[in-house]
Amino acid sequence: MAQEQSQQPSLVGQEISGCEILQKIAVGGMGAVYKARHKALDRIVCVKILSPALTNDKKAVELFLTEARAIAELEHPNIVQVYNVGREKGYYFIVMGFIEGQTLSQLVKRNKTLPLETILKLFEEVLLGLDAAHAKGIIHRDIKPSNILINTDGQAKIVDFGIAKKVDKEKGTTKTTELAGTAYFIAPEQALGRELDTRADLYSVGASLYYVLTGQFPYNGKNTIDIIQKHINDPVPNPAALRPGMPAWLSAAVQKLMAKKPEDRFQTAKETYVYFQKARAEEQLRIQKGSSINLGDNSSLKLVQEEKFSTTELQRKRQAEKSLKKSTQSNKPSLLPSVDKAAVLPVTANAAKPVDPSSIALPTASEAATKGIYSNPASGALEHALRQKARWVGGLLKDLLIKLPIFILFTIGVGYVFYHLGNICSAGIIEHDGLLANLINPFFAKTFQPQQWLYMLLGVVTLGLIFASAAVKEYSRATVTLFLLAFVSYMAGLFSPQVPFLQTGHIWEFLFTPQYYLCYLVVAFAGAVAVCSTYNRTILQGALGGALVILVVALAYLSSHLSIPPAEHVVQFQILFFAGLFATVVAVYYLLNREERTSVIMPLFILLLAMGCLWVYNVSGLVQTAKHTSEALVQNIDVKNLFREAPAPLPEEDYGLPNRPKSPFVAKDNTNEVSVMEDQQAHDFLASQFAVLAPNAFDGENTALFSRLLRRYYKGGQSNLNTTLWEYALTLPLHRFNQNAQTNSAYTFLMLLLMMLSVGFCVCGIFFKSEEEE
Amino acid sequence: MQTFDIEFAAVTDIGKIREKNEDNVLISSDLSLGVVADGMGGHSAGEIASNIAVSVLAETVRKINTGALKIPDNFLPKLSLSERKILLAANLANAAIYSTAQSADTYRMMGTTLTGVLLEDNLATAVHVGDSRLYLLRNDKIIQITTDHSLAMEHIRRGLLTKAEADHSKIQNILTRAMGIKKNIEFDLLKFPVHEGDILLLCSDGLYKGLSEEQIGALLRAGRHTPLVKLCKQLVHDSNMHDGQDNISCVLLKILPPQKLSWTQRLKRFFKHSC
Repeated sequence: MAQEQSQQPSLVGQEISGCEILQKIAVGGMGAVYKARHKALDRIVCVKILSPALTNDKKAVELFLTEARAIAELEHPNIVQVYNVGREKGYYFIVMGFIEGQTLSQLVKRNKTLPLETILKLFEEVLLGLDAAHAKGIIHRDIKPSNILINTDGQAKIVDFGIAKKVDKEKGTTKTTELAGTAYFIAPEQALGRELDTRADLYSVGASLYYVLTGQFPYNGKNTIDIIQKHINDPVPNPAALRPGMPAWLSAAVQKLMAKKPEDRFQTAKETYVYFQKARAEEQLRIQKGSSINLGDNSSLKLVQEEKFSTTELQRKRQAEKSLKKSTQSNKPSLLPSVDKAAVLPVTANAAKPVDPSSIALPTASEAATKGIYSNPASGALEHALRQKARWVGGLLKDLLIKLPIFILFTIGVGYVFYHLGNICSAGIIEHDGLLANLINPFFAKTFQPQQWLYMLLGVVTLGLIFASAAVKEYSRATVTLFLLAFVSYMAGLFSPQVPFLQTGHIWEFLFTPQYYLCYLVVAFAGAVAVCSTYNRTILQGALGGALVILVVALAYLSSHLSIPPAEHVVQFQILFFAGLFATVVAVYYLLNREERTSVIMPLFILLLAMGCLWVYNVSGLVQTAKHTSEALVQNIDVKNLFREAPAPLPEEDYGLPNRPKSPFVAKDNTNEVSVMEDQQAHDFLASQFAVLAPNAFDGENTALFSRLLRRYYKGGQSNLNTTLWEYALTLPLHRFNQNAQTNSAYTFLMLLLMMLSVGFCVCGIFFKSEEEE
Repeated sequence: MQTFDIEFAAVTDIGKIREKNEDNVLISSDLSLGVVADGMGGHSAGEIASNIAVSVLAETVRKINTGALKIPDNFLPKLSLSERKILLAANLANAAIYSTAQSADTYRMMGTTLTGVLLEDNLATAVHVGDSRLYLLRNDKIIQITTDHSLAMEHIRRGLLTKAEADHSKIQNILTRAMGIKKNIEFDLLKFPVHEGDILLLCSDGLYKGLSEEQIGALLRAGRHTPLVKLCKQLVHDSNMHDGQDNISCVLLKILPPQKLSWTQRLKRFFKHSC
């Protein structure tokens, strides 16, 4: 039978229980809801058909009918009327009143701030309706704004009276899933699976009231569970915090309704209703100071007092009434709301979304035309979509307009602070110390320059900010470039004091000179690192990363600025070179093939290795040339020294090991020209020799270096000279670069590039984030 | 390449009061795979959901192994092959259930739990959603590997309920995650090395409602030398005796030392696994 029914999902045009089905309004897990015309009465009704899938479940059916009958007994203006329940043509159905109007949740979504007056009127009606149901011993279990219907006259009607719940409850001993949107309004005891009474409904009323008042759910969370647990655990929020204009008694009432323990709440719906009435009357009184109390209010108060009964009485009453039902119920009911979104309502029940707090305005004095609020607006799906799109673009623009300028200022600040720090530190610069030594030494100086402390402090703070910016999603991508920017700015300040900050005048002349390749290198490297460290790269990003890596390697080659190629391809250097190439290929492979079992560290490590290898290879050329020159020089001197037959014993032991090869400088017989000269004289002499032998290797700028080389040779022989040559060669490019920087403001250019790159990454961050959110 | 052999056993039972068995189990020595799926009790077609879950999972793993299906490159590239395999399979299974559930009223709202374990390269890779469980018996100690996706468990995790309270709670049966309910769901993915002598137990909630963890452990320890199938039947039988309110399913996987193979067999095996 079930199969048959599923084959004809629509019943439109058929007749059920004297009602002609007109149109399908909604479909839910429980079944479908149809608009229908009652033929005999000639009025529009609402017919809910139990899902054919559930008709085989005897218990479910039984409960569906029992519960519906119980509600049918209820006749209350604030509860949707049930006319008929039964089974026809194999369908279980409920016929109920058709409400022309909308749900409270829709109303709130359309009008962010409803007037207090309207809200209170609606909720008082809800409370009256609930009271009637509670008196019958029926707990709704799923009070939420989307279960409160408002007809065109502005009258509240409660729907979906525990029907879904009851059936749900019997969905076997195993499993229901996915607690639906109602988690926003669930009572703590319900969420914990404890015994329920009518006070659970009051909690939900409180939570709904909170939502309607503020436009926000009382608790928000990552997921349903989170929200549910907040209902159990978190302190009750104060609605007045979000809607400052509301009276104190109302916020207190909401908080009392939402008390964690049922005994701390209002005990009955009637009690709540009475409290509302009284508080409003008092307020009225306060406003119209001096005028007399409305007697009508008073009398209704008294009446209420008499009718009020305690919870225990209520429970007993309910127990008696429900003893029959209870016997059929399982002892393992599920009390949580079902997925059933399309309830009995003629509406599409969208899960309500939290509203932007900024959009909640204070209640306006002018009472909105009540009729206008309740009228059902034309379906604006397209309009809604457009509005959402506009909101996204708006958010993006907001991000770009606010966050980007902040970031740009931040990058400039980083550059400025570190540039000045470097500038101050440059007082302690030592020309021929290595790069590293010059970078670090200023911080260990015995005397500090004025303001150095201040700028060091600022620098530390800026670094802290950079670290912090890594935590901000928009900026995290740019963090690497920010670090590099800080570093480069510091170097710029340190090594090019005569270049004014951000002076770019000479840049264009030098854009494609080797001196600038290091700039490009650093930028490309920063980009590569940033792309590589992106967590989920797309293929395009992978390709970009790979391309940047290749660029880095190429630039590393160029920027090492060795116009002198390796003169003699020593096998080791060749191996080194090919190892470097291989490592590069592997790195690129890692970056392109997104199998990241070794994370990003591995490719970066290999990348550095590759760069190092290539660097060493290039440097080797210089070393070779220098070595040749020095060898030629030494030979030259030896030629002049040929007559020396047997070397005499060493005069000074400090000059080296006795068995090292004898050098002409230490000849004891004083026949060697150089050895008798003073150091400076010897240097000058040898320099002239060098100029003849190797005109390109050392120029006038390098005399100090040259003398150092000779001193090393003098003291330590050939091997010591070689070491010195390596040291020299390895620091040379940076040293040169430094010199170049002073004349063509390469550092400034580099800083600018880095700033642009990091800002670019920042923009990317903003864009990607917004897309994800959408 | 696998360096051990695995013995499999699976039993599923309707229980004492249910009208139909909505559980499905699967074991495959070819794929080194064991799966338990427990269809949603009250929902219309729990047995169909669990059947789809189990068969699509196994079929997908098989297709990936034979190369008939390629894992998309951009599918969670950070994970290992086994993890991607089983996760892709589970996702496909979920999509299959979801689309079936959407296709007809009869299937609407059907869902299932899924706990599957794939043994490859001395590693057990488990995918898990719902309240079925995976236990590991190692060195005579039984450990629950998976965490139930039930509201009660969530409450316990946050300290809102004690374990004792939760055992009697009405919300024990409310799952926070299940297959077929949503288009995209989050699976738990677990990976751990296995050793010789380990026993992996996959079961639906019917089993552990009838037998406590200690009882299961005791049974497994006592049955070290009984055949695995017998042990499996024993577990289901005992649980049925104690409770029997629900379908009971149990899958056992035992890690055995590798068999002695001739060198040709070894060679064949090597090429089979490496190709």
